[in-house]
Amino acid sequence: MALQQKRLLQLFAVLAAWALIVGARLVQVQLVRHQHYVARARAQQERTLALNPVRGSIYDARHRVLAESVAAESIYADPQAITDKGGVSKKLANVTGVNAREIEAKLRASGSFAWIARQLPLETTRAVRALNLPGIYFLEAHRRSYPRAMLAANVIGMVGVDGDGLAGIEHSFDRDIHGTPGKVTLLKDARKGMYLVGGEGANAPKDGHHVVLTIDSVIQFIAERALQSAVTKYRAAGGSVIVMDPNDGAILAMASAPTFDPNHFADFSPAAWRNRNLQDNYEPGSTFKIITATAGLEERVVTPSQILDCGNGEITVANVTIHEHDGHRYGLLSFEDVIVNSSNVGAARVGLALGEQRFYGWIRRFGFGERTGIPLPGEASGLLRRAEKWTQVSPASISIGQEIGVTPLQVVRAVAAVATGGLRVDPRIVERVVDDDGLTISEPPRHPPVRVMSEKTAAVMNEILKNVVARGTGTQAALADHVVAGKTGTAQKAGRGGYSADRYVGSFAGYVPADRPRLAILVVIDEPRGEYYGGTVAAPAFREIAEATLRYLGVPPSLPSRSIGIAPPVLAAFSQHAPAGTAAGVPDLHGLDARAAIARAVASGLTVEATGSGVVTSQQPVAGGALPRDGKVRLTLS
Amino acid sequence: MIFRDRTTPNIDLNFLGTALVLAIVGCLLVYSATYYSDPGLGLFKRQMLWAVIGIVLMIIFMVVDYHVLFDIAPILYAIGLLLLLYLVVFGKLTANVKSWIRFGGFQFQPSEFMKIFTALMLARFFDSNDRAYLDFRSFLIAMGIIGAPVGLIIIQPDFGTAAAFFPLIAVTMFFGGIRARIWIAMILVVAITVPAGYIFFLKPYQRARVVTWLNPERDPLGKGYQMMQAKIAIGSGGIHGKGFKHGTQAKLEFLPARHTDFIFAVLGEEWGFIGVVIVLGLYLYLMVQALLFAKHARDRGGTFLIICLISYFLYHVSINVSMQIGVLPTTGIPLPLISYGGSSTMMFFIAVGLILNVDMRRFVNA
Repeated sequence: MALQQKRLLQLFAVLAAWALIVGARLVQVQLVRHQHYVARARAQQERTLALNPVRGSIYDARHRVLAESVAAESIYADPQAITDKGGVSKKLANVTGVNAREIEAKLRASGSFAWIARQLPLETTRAVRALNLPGIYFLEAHRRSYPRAMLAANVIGMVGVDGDGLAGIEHSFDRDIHGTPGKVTLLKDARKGMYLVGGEGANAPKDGHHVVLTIDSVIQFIAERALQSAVTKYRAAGGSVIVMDPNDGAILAMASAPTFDPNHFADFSPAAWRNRNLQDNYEPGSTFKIITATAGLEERVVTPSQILDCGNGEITVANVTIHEHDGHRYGLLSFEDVIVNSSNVGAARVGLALGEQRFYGWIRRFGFGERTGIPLPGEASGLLRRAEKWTQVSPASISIGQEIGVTPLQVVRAVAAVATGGLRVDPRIVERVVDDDGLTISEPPRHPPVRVMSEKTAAVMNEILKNVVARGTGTQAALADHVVAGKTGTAQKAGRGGYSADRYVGSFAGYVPADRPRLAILVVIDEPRGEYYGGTVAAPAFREIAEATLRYLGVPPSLPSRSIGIAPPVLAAFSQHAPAGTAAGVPDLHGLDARAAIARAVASGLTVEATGSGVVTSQQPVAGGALPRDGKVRLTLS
Repeated sequence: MIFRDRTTPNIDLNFLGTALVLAIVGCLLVYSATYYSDPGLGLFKRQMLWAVIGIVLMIIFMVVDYHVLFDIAPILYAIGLLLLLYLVVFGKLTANVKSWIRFGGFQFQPSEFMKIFTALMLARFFDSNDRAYLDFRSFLIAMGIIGAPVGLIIIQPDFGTAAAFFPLIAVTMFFGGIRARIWIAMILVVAITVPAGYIFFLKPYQRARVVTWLNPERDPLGKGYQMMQAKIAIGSGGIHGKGFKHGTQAKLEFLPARHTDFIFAVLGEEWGFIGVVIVLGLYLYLMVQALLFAKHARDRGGTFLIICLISYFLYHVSINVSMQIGVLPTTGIPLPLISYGGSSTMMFFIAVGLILNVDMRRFVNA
């Protein structure tokens, strides 16, 4: 029996060994690799369906809807559940308008899921439901709708079929508007059946917030209409308009031509989706003389009344000759008239007098060469070479707006800085982000205004720009009820190998009412045909926009009577070199031109009797003398 | 006649209780694996019926002295062989296998009962053969006792069930005791007859079954898929399991043969590592206890009967569990007392009865 006992013991050993092996394996499968098998079980048992949140709306400043999500349904099919693929395709095509052959191709594909049509209006899907087709299913979806179609399309942008913002506010505020998707977990069995797990695993989507823009639909409409008629009239390649409140930087309108309908954006060329106001660079031409002039005054290389030699129409710098526009041949012009008449030679002299470093510094100070930071996608920073890379002729070229690329948004910001009395305010287009109850969720940060020029310089520039409109190149921008200040610009477009002889950009940048500005407006017309001067192609559009907008805003006329009683020019009163202490006696008016002399005299409480023309050569009473009893000063000009 | 001695009070209640607990666990798991796909609970109710019938059979095979059973073993063995022969000649193919006999509303597999009859026959043979080593003639007789039913089952062809007779061969060789030359002769015979039989006697579809049986990975969407699903079920159960009736692998029908061959995966998924260890512990207790019974058995026949029967337990549990945790390739083989199935449940209850039968008659002079 000992042998038998030994054999039994051996069998015990076999049992123990087996128990060890199985135990070890169980530990490995159930404990060590537990997570791995849980994941594998999930992978084959669960299907997570994303529940899309409802995308938030985009409103204008007065809560008019610019973009919203409307209920829709998508249709999908389980191709394997459909036997009569041809018949089903035809029926679906009849109702949805999708090509029958396209549908049939999808139904013949392998797999158990195929989109038939997405985001259809509910009445269409109701009709499909009525067909009672096998293997056809519906999914709640939302369709983006732009009730005002093309209005502000280049600002708002659009949304792709998967609900992602592709351009404009839809893109840059996608995170706010999109909302948080929820999900629901479905259980799937080995035979591909689906069971909904009631409640558990489901988590509701959070709908998107809404964006309130600074844009006002009415002003936007005014701007777009004026831009479109100018583009049409001059058969231009395109154009852009910005209307901004210079005081707080709010963009009231931003129009870009060509434009598109975001409801059917795929039908338009991608070029039409662009927002030229910030995505494209252009050479500003003479509107840039605002910067040149400001820099010149601030750096004291020139005074408002200083006479500049405009070289009979040309100036040569390092073998490059700069001419006046339209073949003008100015001789001696006061600094003011250089800007008013848009003399290239005069402006170039100021630029050259500033020199590379100082001029470059002023250009940067106005914000050129950097983005404004407006929350819209694709903003360009412009093209501005560093001073070290300038050539000898660069100060002259840049002073007349060549050799530099700017965005319309940068230009309107620079002009607004004059309008505000010297403060640079960064443009903003989003007022705030709100929830369904209208409570503010967030507000884009506002940068405090930066002083870029003294109030005095701003006042001088204001007078000069008023005169551009009053008697210079910008007369077509003038309004009946308001004083307009502004500057025209006409730039030849740079092409390969130099400037083009027939491709121009005509623009007008200005603000109104000049002495208490409500609007800063820039109109840019790209490649107009026939006429091309900014004063001709852009200034009228400026006037149209300014007039209609001021009326819409209810701004009372700032010019009660146009024919008489024009406020005397006060330009010279702000001259930087006015001797101190003249307020007590008769001011020294020698060397001033008529306007400047009159201005200075008026500032001192005097009236003027003048003879001759030119500059003051003698005055009565003399400078420093007691104020005459009749309050009159007699001037002789020659 | 039936009660040669008064031994009824000597029933080992721990052993019996363990077997009954396993059967109850089986019924619960069958319920959990089928209640959603079989809302009438027909499978669950039938498994309970099989268990009741099994318990009745267990009592019969426990009460009747095993020496009496040894006496009638040749008759039982002959009836079993005739039934198997009947199947080979008249049997209807069910899933390509002729292993079922229909009897009234029920059907049963004679091969399961043949396992018991063959074990009885073999034990009876060893009872009269008490040498330390088998001589060649005795060895051939033992092989013949095992070989006859195995051959008939191979013809069905049901290789999985035929292979379940392998433990008897192992018991014969290991506990019967054979000399080295017989070992060598055995190996030679197997090396010659198996390939020859494969080539000359099997039909192509039978050969195909041999191939899939040996190498289930050749059929990745079949057996390989099943094994993977079982592993996912057991592995995702973790320590505590997903809870009774909460096994997703089973409920979503990823697990094949959930209530029969793969019921262990349901156990692993729903009751986790803890449940698996408890159930395997019960099996281990059953086997170790039976081995102790074998050690103390009154005679050589009793020892051999227990060893033969416990070898069935060991074989079924180890093969079934091993294939589901990826230690061995899959083959259709039930988990003793737990898997759904009438013939299998009854067979293992009979085995439990016989083991208790030997144990309670261990005292020579009782």
